[in-house]
Amino acid sequence: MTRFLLRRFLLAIFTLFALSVLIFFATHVLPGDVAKKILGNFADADAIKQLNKELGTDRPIPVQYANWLGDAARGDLGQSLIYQESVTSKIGTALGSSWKLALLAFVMVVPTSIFGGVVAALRRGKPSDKIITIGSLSAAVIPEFVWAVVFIVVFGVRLKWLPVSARAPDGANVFTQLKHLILPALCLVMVLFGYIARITRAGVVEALDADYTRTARLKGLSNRMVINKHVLRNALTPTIAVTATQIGYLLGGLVAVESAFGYNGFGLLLLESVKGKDFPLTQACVMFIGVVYVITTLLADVIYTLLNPRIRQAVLA
Amino acid sequence: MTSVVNDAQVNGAPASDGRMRAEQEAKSRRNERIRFLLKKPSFIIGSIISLFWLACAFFGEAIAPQDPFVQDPINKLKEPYGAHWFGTDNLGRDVFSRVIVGARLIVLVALAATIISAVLGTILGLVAGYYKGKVDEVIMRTADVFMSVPTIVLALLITSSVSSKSMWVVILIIALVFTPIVARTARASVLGEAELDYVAAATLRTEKTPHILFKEVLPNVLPSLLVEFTVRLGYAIFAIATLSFLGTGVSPESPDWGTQVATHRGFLNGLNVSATLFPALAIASLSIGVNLLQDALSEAFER
Repeated sequence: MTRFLLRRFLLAIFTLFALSVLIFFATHVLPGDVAKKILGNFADADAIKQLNKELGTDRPIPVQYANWLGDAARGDLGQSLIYQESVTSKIGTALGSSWKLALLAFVMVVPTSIFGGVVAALRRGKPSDKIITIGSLSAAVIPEFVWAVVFIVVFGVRLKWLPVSARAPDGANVFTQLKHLILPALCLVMVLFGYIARITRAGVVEALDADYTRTARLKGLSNRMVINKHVLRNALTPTIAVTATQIGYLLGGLVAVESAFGYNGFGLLLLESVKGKDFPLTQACVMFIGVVYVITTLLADVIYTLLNPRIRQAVLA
Repeated sequence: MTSVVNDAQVNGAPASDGRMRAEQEAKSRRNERIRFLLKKPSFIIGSIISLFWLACAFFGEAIAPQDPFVQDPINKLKEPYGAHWFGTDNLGRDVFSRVIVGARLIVLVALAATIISAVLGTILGLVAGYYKGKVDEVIMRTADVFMSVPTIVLALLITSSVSSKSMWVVILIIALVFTPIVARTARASVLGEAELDYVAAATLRTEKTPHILFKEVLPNVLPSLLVEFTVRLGYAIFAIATLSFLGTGVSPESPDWGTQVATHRGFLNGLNVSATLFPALAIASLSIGVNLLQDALSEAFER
């Protein structure tokens, strides 16, 4: 098992390394002349030269990459070009507001989608299964900003139940903040629900058909005992893995949701950096999302391995 | 005298009988799948929605009741009334006609991007699954990297450093991001096939590798690739709509749903709902249509 985990760990390191090369390529090689890209086509040639010198983008590409990676490893992600602030502190502040939105979405989606998936599996083939399965997957393919429009129109404009801006007034208490975050979080929930529900349903269906479930039934266990002790325990391991991988998605989904509701968080920061050609900030944001994804999938794989005795055995053998 | 001998005598070669029977079997399996699909409500509804938007994409101007570009500033931002079924936008243009014509950009960009990634991804996946070893390792690790960041974020990263905002840039970005993911699916289905007898038989007949891959293996993995195609098409629509909503997609002179939503959402607070809501609902209907198709196809092929 140690060997498996070690291989998995090395793979994660490699993925991050390759991602850093990809990001570097996109921000330093693709634009051609970086300073010209920032200042525009009509900028003064001297100014372009000066900025390239300041940014270090006049040096050979491999040297630039080595410098960038070295600085990043020491925690120095450079200066933001549009905010005149260090990239690290800018991202820190943005995450300080985004985690509330992300956490709320997660708290809303995980129990409901697992419950939905279990219900669908237990009523396999019946209309309620079809409604949950097709309904939730159809919801998942609709972009977050479209949900945002629908929710704003229905709950904000027509019913006037909830505020249409995610920004609570300064110094608002927790409940007011929460009220402002419900609609944005709901948009993320709509997209995430289908994936988690589907994988839960698949896991439960497989467990229901398994020999050990038949044995448990033949042993005379009550339906409730069979479901709780045998089916769910086996079925929910893949769900953990999928749920973990959705955290990385969640960060991507924040871009559209925060933009739709005007919430000053990580997603909006990434968008502003792209529009403002603030490449130190863009590359740091994208790298951050990659790091989160790779770490959460790594953790999910480890948990999955530790929880599932069959995989544990297979890996050991 | 049995019919097998009879056939063999008529055709002069016993080998062709086996092939004919295999072809017939494949044909009847195909017919059975088509019958199954035609009985599925999700397939029917999904097809109707998708074909409707496809028709709008190609013949939008002919279908739209009014000129989508004609401005009428006096009657701007009206909710639906009279001849304006979906109301008018911030310049007094007919929202209904703009939604109809707006299908073009998203449908064509999504189709083009998905087709490119499907072709490239299939070739890469076939090669990876057949040769295994180093080639396979390289392609799959590349897929890992592309999948470690959400599509929309990768697209944002690349758009930030490309100045041109032409349709082709968005098409190529989405195609680039999807190719390794399609390759992964193609590879997975080829891995199972490569062990089968017909591949060994073809190898023994000293068929060339391209022939084995594209004439023997490809037809057998086509169903799962078709399902993957519809999955990717759905994600492409998702990504393209989001990019144009964020203002980083194609900057079109022609109407575009995502842009329409972005332009008019400021009016949601009391001024006007229709100019934002209807393009948003158009995106939702297209996404659902493609998803229903995908759902029906995967059920038909993976039974």
